[in-house]
Amino acid sequence: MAGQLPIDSRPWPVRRDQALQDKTMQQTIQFVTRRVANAKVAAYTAYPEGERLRQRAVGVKRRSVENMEEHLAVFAQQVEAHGGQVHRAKTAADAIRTVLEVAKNHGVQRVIKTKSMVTEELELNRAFESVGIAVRETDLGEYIIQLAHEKPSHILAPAAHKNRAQIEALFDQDAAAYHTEPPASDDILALTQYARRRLREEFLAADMGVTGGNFLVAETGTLVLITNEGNADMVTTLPPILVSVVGVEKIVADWPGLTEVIQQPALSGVGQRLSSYTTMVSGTRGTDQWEGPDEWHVVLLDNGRTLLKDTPFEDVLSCIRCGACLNVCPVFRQVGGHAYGSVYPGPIGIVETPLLTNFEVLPELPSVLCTLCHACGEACPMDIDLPGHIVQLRKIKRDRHMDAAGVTRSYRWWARFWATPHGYRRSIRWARWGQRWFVRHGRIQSAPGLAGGWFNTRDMPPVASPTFHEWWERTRGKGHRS
Amino acid sequence: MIETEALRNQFQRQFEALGGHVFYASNSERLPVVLASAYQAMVDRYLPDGPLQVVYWLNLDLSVLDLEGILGGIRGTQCICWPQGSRQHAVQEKWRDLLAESQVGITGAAWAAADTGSVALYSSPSTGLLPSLLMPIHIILLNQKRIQPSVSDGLKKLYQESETQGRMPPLVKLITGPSMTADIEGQLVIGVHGPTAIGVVVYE
Repeated sequence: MAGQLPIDSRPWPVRRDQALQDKTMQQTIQFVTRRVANAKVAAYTAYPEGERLRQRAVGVKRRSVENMEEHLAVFAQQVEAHGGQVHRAKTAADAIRTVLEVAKNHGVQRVIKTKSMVTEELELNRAFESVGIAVRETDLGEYIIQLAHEKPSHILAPAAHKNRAQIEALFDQDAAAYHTEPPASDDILALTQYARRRLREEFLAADMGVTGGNFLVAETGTLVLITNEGNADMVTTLPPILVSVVGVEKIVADWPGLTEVIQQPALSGVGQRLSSYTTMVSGTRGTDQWEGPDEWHVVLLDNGRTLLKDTPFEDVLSCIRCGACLNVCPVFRQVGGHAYGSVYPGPIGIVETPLLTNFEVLPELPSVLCTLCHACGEACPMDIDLPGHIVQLRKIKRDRHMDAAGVTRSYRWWARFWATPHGYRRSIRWARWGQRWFVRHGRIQSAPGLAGGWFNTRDMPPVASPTFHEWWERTRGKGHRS
Repeated sequence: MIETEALRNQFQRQFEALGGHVFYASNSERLPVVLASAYQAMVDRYLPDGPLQVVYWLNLDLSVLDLEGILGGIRGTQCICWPQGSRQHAVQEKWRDLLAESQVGITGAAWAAADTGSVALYSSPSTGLLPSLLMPIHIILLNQKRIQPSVSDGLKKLYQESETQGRMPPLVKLITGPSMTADIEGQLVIGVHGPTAIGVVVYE
């Protein structure tokens, strides 16, 4: 069954133009992605075991996904043996229903959350608010975009598109609404201290915590959460009720497997050997225990994931949401996450969004937001064949006749020419003859028909006279043949 | 032993690279002095003003350590032992407030990992996570015998212990540096939700 993903339904050209006009976003996103991409390279260089660990982690993830159902059954058994409850959710709607039911059964009024892409996928906050439950994001970046009523622009750094002045304005508004002291300045430390103070009240007042999950260990029934801020520890330790919503593909068969994968999100995501906090939940608080939730619910979300099982796209289920493919993608660095229109942006979003929804939403992603430069394929620590998949998705779209007729015709026409050296040379001669009407200031600035769109945002040098091929033919080419 | 010393040095290098502080007591007699100076250095640096209240629990090998006696003289520090055994809900609420109002958490540790500079804490009837959670300063007393070569070795140890115990601790936490974020303009800031400053006193 196809999954449901929330989308920005504005057409691609609108999303694109908005992104290209947002200079603040471009500046911050370029800084953040470069910094993190460099940190990843530095971390692997300084950690000789890192590469071997990474390869082993790929094996663990692949094998775990292969027998996913079996492992999920063991996981459920283990969690229930240790006081927790496991719910399976086929769709986003099922998951929302389950979470709201738990909240309703306990008369929950205040929820605190860790950062979780799955709950973004569900738009869980909106669901809570629609039934009058206050919900607070506690990851600093998520807190910022919650105040701004926006979606994350980066899997790992949700507020990477905002600068400090914008954030100070949001915090000032929040302080006024909650009658508390606003941040002392737009200094980044002052802003962080404001969030610490404000969110501290929310941590202590909440009656339910909601988390996502980085890994699930079947053998021990353990949920693993990775943060740098420490908010997951608050969310799992303080409120009496804990709900963890996790994608089924997060399952790892056994404890030795966990030890192989546990460093990967931090190593490839932010260039640390481990994040500041790794939090493991393996059941409810025992009768003799002081800490841990009284009640723990794990919601295992499918939402289109098992559609990918036993297909050439199965490796996508190994994704650990580290964001490495986003950080190196030249398109992502220009347009940021919002332009994709999906909760999952960047190369992984291009691949996952159509696959999870059976091409029902945003089918343009593989065609328009990738240059096939292959940087994502090199960066992915889980060896997911992102560039290969993007090509395959384009092929599926063509086979299903999903591209506009004009586009398909143009490409077919173009392909016919460039499939042979003779056709290529002929097309170049024609282009040289035809370009005279379109060259301004020594560059081709426009073109007729469908090709015109290409020149909306760029130009190109005219066809040379003679071309390299012609020159070669006339000079050295001749010499060699004799 | 050369091996433990190498592990201790590696752990120290990693932990300090993350922004943590490491102090070393070469024998148990020196521990009170080293702890007092570590505590003094950290509170003076990170909390130069205001009252000081410590919430603590210690590993069994230090059950005779008189924390009140060691720290009481430093800016009138109050020490409160993190309770043990069973509890009622009402008591937990009160404890939560108390923890939120304290400035320093002092805890033992289950183990540490040299390769990543991590320290592991378990929730159990006698050991807890709350003192590592809410206070601005967290100091860990770590017996150097507990330092494992790698985080994988530590996790293996946790697994073996859980097999004898019959279950995993409900909560386990690996601490690898202070609480931090780079969520605003990609700039690193220390001390978001958890401790701003974290120190380890390694003793033999």
